[in-house]
Amino acid sequence: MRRRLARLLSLLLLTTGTALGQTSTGSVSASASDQPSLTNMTGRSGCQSSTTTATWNWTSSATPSTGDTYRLAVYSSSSGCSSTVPALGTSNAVLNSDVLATPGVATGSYTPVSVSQMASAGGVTNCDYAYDQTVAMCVYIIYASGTTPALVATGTFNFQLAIPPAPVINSASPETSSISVNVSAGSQTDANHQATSGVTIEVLCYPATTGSSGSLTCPTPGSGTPVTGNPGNITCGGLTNFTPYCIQATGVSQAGNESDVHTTYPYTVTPEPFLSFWQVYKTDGGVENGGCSTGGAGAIAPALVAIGLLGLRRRKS
Amino acid sequence: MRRAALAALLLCAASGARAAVDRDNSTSSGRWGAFQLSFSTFAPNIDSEFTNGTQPYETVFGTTRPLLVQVLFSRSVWISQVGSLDVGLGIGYWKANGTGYSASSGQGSQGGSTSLTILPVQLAVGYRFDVFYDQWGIPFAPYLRGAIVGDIWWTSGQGAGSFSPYPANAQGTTWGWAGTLGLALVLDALDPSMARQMDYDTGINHTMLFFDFTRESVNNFGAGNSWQLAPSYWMWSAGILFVF
Repeated sequence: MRRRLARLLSLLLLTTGTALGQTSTGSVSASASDQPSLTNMTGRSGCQSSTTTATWNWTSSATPSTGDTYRLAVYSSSSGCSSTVPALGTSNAVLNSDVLATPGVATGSYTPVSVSQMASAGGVTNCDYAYDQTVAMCVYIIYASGTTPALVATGTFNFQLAIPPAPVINSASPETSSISVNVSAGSQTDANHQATSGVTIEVLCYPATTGSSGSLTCPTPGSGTPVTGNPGNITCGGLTNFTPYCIQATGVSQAGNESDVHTTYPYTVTPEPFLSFWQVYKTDGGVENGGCSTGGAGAIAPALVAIGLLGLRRRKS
Repeated sequence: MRRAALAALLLCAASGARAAVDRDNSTSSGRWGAFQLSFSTFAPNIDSEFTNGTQPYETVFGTTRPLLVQVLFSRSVWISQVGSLDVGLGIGYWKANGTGYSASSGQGSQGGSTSLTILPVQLAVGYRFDVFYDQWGIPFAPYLRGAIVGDIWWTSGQGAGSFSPYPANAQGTTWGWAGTLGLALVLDALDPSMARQMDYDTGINHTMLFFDFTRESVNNFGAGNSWQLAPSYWMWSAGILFVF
């Protein structure tokens, strides 16, 4: 089952625009902090967001007077900011009410704004996109004097929707109370798996279940706390010896979007106590005990090395 | 293949003869030491102490010979027209990775990563016959070297915990000796003018490629409670040597 997790990051772009003869050089940006997961972000099943609200701030090209207010609107990136201010209550005006401006101060911030509302206003109607989606943010000033409202700040907000390729489990080796899993980044090249930068791997080792016929089965996806690492060797520790474990790996993009799951099913790996080399050597009857050299003969060597070092130093001096 | 090697040898010899004409030792910088980097494949003969048929090293690490990388920095203590007597200190790095076997079901079930790492430290005294190139223009420098070797070693691995009466890992130092016979190819002969320029720029008198064989014994000079960390064979090494 493919899951989509859209985490939202803010991007700040400085752009210019013109509204009613007034030049707009202000900017607006939004940053979404982590919030409890919001499912069905835009009303489409399977599309998830880990954020619900975003803080937005702006620098306006206009200096407000007493009683002036700001209004934030969002449009699709293709249409861009409208030259006319949308009315409150319409889909593009993402605030319930305007923000009262501080006279003479052309910057400010406001929280919160609904991320799902921004997605809807910007035309991001579902998460089934191959690439990240950007919407246009627009701040208008509503003059108390009755002058025609003006667009005074513009910016963008990025919805990171691309998912990484599914990783590949190359091998899984049993260790004592652990399993060493070798994972490489996936190589899916289709348009829907474009997040390949900064991908981390989550490996989950979970106990296999015994079916009615006595055979081992692996419920997929498994549950538990995964181990996070980079492609290569990742070790699941703290496992129970002599218990068969199922293994699955998932790629996670920098934005937190998860790839398809790769699993070793139907193969399971069973950790058990394995002797180290030293234990094998001693079990077989090896005479070496470790430590520094033993016996008179062994003591001669370090003495010779010390003499050699002294000789080199004297000659050098 | 053999013909190609012979041709290469003749080419070296020919260029060496030409180099004998081109060389001008009076312009070379003073000589005072050498540095070499060598590579070899190595496997300690740990299993030699077992007469009961068990082979713990081979069981865990197999029969492969991992790469041993060594460096040796030498100071020339006596230089004559015949050659150079060098005293040097060296260190190397070698590591073998393998898998143990189950403490409960035996060798039929292998698993568990484990390794043996050795840092061979040596105090070496060697003599290199520079006369072949310096006096006669033949671009070869045979050499021999003796060394006191201290193998600093440690093992790693998770181990079987309470399933084994022995600790998972150990470390120590094992001492021994080594003797080396080798031959170096003096690369200066290929382009004497470049070699002179390199000497002028960096102080490196000669650059050589070498190949040698080493016989050693590293078991605390025969102590009864020591394992053997030397290989069971004449170990070859190849590398590059800078004389400065």
